[in-house]
Amino acid sequence: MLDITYDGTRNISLSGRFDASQAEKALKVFATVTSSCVVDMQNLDYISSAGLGVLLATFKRLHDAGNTMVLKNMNDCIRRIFQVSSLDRVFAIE
Amino acid sequence: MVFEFIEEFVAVHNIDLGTAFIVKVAIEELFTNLVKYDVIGAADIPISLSVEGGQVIMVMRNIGGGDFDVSAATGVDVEAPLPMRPIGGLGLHIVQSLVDDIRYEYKGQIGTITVTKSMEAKRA
Repeated sequence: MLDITYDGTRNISLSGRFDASQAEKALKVFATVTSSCVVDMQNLDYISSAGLGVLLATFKRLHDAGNTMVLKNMNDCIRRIFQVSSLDRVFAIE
Repeated sequence: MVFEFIEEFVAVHNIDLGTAFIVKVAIEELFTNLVKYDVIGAADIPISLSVEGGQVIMVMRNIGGGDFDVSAATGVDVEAPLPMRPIGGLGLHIVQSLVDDIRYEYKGQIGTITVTKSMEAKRA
């Protein structure tokens, strides 16, 4: 189960599991993000390629409009997923 | 339900967190892929997990779901610049990058996927 909280301005937090079953729900929330944002992944336990796809699609859209997207507080396992998919070179990660 | 089975396996065999995460990723990505490409909805996909000689061995059988070689090169360009980066197709690339070995055999309308991952450390 994935919980997404968006404060309507800049801050998004993800917690739980971001897998294929949660991708559609996540996409609906991220579709409402239209400016630079920070995604806090401190309580995110897991992300699948479907979750990466949602983040990447969102980032591409925001980037094309001149906005930024920062991912922060990801755990070591999730960071490894970003590394093997070379998305650690695409996203700003703190 | 699949993940409860994996959690139980990880606990019983005292598997380290890093290896456990990779097992979950491999099972999730491969299973999702098989279901996604099972256009007629006929696939039965039993999964077995075992530990042998310091390695976790995952076997998935795609019964009736068609022939799809998950061990083949994905062709996904993970070095492409942002505008050219594909949104999808990363699942198999991630699995192939994280595990030690992935083998595929198709025989008698059953695709058998065998994935091997050495355990990374003793769990504290």
